[in-house]
Amino acid sequence: MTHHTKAPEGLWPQLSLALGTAALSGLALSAIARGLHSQGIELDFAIFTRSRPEGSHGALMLQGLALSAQIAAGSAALALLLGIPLGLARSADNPVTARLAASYVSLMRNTPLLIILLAFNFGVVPALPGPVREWLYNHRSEIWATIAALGSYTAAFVAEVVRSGVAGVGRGQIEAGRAAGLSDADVTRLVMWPQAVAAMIPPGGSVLMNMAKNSALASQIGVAELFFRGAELQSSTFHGFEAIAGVTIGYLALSGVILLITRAGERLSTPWRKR
Amino acid sequence: MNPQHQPVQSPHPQPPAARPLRQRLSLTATLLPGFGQRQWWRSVIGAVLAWSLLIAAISRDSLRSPLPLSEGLLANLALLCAAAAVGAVHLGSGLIPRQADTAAARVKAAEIASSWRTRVTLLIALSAATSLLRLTVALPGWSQVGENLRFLLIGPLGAPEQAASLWRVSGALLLAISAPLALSGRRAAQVAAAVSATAGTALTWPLVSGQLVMGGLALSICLATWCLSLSAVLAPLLAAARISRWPVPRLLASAVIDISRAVPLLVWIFGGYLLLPYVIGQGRGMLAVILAMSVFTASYFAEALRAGLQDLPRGQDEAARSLGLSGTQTLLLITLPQAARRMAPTLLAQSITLFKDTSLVSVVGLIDLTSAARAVANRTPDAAITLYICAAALYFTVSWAIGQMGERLQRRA
Repeated sequence: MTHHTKAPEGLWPQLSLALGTAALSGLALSAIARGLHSQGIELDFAIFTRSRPEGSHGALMLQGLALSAQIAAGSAALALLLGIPLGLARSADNPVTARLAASYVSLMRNTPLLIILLAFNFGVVPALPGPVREWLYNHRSEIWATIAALGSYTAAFVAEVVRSGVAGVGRGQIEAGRAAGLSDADVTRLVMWPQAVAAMIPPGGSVLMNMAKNSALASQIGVAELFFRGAELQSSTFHGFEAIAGVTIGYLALSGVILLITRAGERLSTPWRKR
Repeated sequence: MNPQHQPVQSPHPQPPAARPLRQRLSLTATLLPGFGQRQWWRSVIGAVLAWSLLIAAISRDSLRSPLPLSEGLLANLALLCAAAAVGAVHLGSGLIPRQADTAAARVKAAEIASSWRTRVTLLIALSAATSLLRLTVALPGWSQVGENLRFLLIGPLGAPEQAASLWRVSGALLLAISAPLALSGRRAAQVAAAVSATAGTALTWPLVSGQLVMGGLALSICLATWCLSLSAVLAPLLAAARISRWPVPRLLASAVIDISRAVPLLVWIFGGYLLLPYVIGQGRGMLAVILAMSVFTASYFAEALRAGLQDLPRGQDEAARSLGLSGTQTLLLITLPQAARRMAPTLLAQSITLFKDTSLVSVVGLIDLTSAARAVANRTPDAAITLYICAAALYFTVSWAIGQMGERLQRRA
């Protein structure tokens, strides 16, 4: 806390931190570049645009990104469809319903998604009745398995968000609504829901963001989404650095879009808030 | 379902409210017949009934048909009735409140337990549960699970030629104990955690540093603990930098945290395994994976800590500073411990996520529990679902136990 110097406070520590970080990351990057060079690989970001008969790597990555986005959208729909009733069941009076929903949530939250995904793809799909299975096998069954697994896994997290959103509406709000002469249905519709939904949107957005990132696991059962394309680029050309950079940018874009959707949802759900 | 169905609170001052009914029914009480019940004599009856039913269901061949309700209608009906009786006794004994609970809570509990709605849903739930149980028992591939259980638990270490280093797997147990101890938030327990983590690492590191020998569940536990310890060091630094008054550390920490959180862990593990060895030395893939996972987890921890720090009343900081503590001392001794305690549930949940996320290391060829199950399932496709159920049960048991222990320790601390 130096008050009488001319330099702004903390100039030197900050400057050395910035320079130190820059130097360290420069060293790390050059070590990577040298290591790749010693194996005969030069950094080359033009690899994405170079045309090939089966399509340039950039185009394949974009296709992968589109598939990731589709999987995310499908899983989000399923997660909301399952998760909202589950969350309401979890906050129900009936102890059996509440317990069942809680058990489902606990089961999903304590089991890795990859195991659920593998179980759906290699266990559930082959055990389905004949015609359904045939149809799935003819229509890229692994994508459907991914959506089912990711959707039912995320539903548990959506349920938690819904439960805490409903529980978060103050008792006073409900009682005030009733004191104002509203019917039970009107209290639910006009007082409880708007507040509960507004409270659900920010944590719900982060649940969906995690879900979009989790869609990368689909690569493990052979779905050609973004991460799969990146790994493919690495294994076919050994340009690992470029592949990871490309995949990272793709997921940043996907996360960015979901962030924008969440922000819009937040604005729409809280019309009473001044901005 | 909705709060407005509950009666309006009476104007009399209420005694400290009993916890809601469904919270008192612990998961142990619901899932494990006979355990965690409030009334011991009911729980004994429930346990005897439930376990005899379970054994009967498993041992009767006619009930092992893959389609549960297609044959033996009478046997199925009898089974259903027995299940309903067991469920009523078993769940009922959990529902009935203790003596210490208020009279109103007892009345409410009796009301809910005897309502038709509860009974009907209970019957439906139980019949579904029985069918599910019988489907699971009828699955092919239980013999595969039995044969490969050792491989699932410790990976290649179970092979006969590794018998000489088998004793080192006890280090994994030490590491497993250290995590909940460290999360307890008490000084003595944390010292014990540090000791057992160090000893566990010393025992197990030789099994993974060179040629990978240990695998399976033991490897998953070790990986999770190592990443947890590293994140516990990294996260406070990141959190402190994130809320610093100075722009440079703030921007750097924000960049690390935001990029970590926007990119899937799979990409981190893959990228770390591929590129980090160029920096830290070839042949250190395991260390690279641990570092990558730690930075990822530390970012989530740091966000939780930051929220905790920003929630603290300003007085804490100001009081510490006016006592003459420096900024670093204030952070380390006063504000950070409080923030960690406040955010303990979030940190616990994130630790469980970390344990589950170790399943992703199979991308880079480490033989953790998931890849072990995958390897066996690839050899025997018919047993795939059974193997995955078994692996899921192992993951569930460990992470649920971490959660329960952590919660209990936090409550006592």
